[in-house]
Amino acid sequence: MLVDGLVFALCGSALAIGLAGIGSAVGVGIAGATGAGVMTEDPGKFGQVLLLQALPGTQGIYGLLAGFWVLIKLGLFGGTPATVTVAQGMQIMFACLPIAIVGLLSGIAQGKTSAASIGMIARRPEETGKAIILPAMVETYAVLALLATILLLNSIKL
Amino acid sequence: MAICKVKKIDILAHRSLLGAIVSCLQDLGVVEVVTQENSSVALDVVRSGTSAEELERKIGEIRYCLEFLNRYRPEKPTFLESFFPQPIEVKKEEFLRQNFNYIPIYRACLSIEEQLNEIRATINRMNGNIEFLRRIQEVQLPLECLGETRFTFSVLLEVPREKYEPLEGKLRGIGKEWVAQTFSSPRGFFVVLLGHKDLEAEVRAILQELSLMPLALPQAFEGTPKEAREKLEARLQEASEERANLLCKALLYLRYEKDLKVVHDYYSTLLERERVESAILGTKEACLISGWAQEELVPLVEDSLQEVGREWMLYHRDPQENEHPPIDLRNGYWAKNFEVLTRLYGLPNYAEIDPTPFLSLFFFLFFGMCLGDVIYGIVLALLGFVAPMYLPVGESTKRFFHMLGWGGVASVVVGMATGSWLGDVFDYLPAFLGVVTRFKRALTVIDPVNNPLPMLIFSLGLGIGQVLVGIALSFVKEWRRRHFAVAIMDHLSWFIFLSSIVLYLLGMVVFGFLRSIAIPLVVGSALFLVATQGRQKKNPILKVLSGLLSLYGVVSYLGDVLSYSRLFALGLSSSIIAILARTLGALFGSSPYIGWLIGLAVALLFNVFNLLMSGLGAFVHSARLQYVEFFTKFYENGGREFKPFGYKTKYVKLL
Repeated sequence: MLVDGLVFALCGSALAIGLAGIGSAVGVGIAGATGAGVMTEDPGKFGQVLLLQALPGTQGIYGLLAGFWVLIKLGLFGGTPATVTVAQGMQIMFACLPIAIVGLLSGIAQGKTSAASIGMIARRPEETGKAIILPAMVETYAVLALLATILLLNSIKL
Repeated sequence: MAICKVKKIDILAHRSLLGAIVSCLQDLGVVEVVTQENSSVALDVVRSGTSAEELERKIGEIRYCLEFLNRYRPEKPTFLESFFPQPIEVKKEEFLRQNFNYIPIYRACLSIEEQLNEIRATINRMNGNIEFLRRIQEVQLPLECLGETRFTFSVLLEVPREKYEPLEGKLRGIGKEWVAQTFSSPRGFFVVLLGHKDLEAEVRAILQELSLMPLALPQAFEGTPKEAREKLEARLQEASEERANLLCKALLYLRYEKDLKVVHDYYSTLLERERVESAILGTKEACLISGWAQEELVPLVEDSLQEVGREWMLYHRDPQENEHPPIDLRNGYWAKNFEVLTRLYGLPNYAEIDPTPFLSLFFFLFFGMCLGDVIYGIVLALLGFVAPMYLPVGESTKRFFHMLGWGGVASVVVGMATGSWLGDVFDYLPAFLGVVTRFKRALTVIDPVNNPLPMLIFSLGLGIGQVLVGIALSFVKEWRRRHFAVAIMDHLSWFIFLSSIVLYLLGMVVFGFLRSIAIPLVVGSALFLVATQGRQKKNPILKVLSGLLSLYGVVSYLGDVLSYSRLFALGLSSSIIAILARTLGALFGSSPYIGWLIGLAVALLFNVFNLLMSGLGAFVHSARLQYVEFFTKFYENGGREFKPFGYKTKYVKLL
């Protein structure tokens, strides 16, 4: 019985880390490709481009955070592992889904916005501040999803 | 703490004083000169801007010199220096007496560059030739033998092994008036073929048939390929030496770099003055210089102009309704560090409130909540307050650093209250440091990792606070503009409605007596909103309906408040990643031998990464809450920065 529940819980953890990670990887990739283009013209913009490229990277961190919380909750880092029923395992898995799904999609969307912002600072470097705020608007939803995941996980009693 | 009051000033002067007055204003650096519009008198441009072109040319030439010297500079500036270049300090009187003659340097730079280009081309050509000669070095004949005479022709061929026999056979077939000398080559043979001119056409036909291309010499050489190559290599050496000499010569001019930079700024200053002067309008005898100056500095302007002469008059007045005076923010010691956030969004217009003091308090709190760790906070505060002392940064960069420093301070406070000291590292300290752990635990008020709800509610509470402050500010703004009806009906009523709902909610949870106070307030203000919000409509039914519909606005306020939940989520995220760093560090640290070192490195790496990403997140999200949730309540912006006419220098700092 112990194994069955654990399988679902670990699946949730893996989904959170994996899907949100993919979202960030694609997002950072899109932004980086544009950034490289901009830097061909002006290598001096490295700092600003790097900053904007890093913005879609947060989804991956949120996913890691959620997945890690599951592992702590399960007591897999030292100590005795908790006994997890199938129902509890599934609860944990579903609790992980908000950040997994939203992380995946918002990471990609934020990457596109970051790429556009990089295009913006290519022409108007003085507007870097505004260029950073636009991708951050997308990130709101990843933060909300992380919040949902944390609150859901917190409400599951093991 | 607010938007600085400015006066419109008009200086009417005799034309002969124009240059002197403009110089004087530039020296003062407190007046923003503007070109007149819609004047009732027909005025002409007083001066033509021909000398501006001359100055631009000079600046261009100096810039060329600086770029040229920069390219051949032996020691490149360090990373920090390229971000924060050290300004050259010059006394103002010396700067204005600038007469450094840059032209000899400009000419020298041009000539050195030209010679360098020539040498570069020569070196490239020689390298190509050396390559060619190396390829044919097995040919043991003097290369001057190749060529034509009156009766003979010659070709140099590289023949692959399998084509050698056919070539020989075919050549035998056409006659005997030729000789060939063969040398080995990596791919077969080099053949030097010398023949009578009568045979040339036939030989070429054979070569074409076998698809053999004669090797053409890129230029005439003397001696065998080996000798020719050695000679060339010696010359290449000479050319490289010459190039090195030229580079040394260029480097000698580096000692004029400082002078060049000063003179660059000097001409830029002259150009700026020229541009202002050429935009000033006047008549044949008089000219009119208009501009904006801060109220308290107008007497200073008048005093300074006394020295110029007496043929001028200065009028000053308050800005009129339809004018857009430039905006100069003036905030106190603390709030001025946060002005950068207001600037980022857009400056306020002259008729509204400077949001910086309010924003600074909220940003400070929010940043602290988002980062929310004592150790990270200390690092950031040290960076923010100490770094500007050692870096030659300008005033605005310094303020930005200070803003980060204050964010660090807030983070220390929040971290203490939530018990986050590098996550939970301080709970795992060795026994002899138990005092520290106990100290940490004594300070902890809420532990969001184990009990997240109170922190979430606190975040939303901050949100309610900021939204209410926003509505209150819009009330004040409208009241000051004497739009009393709008102020009361649209802003005060909402303020009372929302705050009484909050009171009611508070009453439900803790203070029961508040409910009885809140209910009549909620109902009363709701009825007031229903009664007033439809006042634009003519039809009485529509009046009531749109009044009712306006209550739906609660939803948008609710949405705004929920957005503040990010404060909690981001704060928790930075603590949990710090915990993750500690856990992974411990995991690696438990392996034998140098395990502890690896563990330490892993933990350090994670923590640095977390500080960077969480710091960026804290800045971006705290700023966003100001812009999207707070500013939308009252802020209009649209102001234009006050840019006084003065010395604009790039390299020089005037003392």
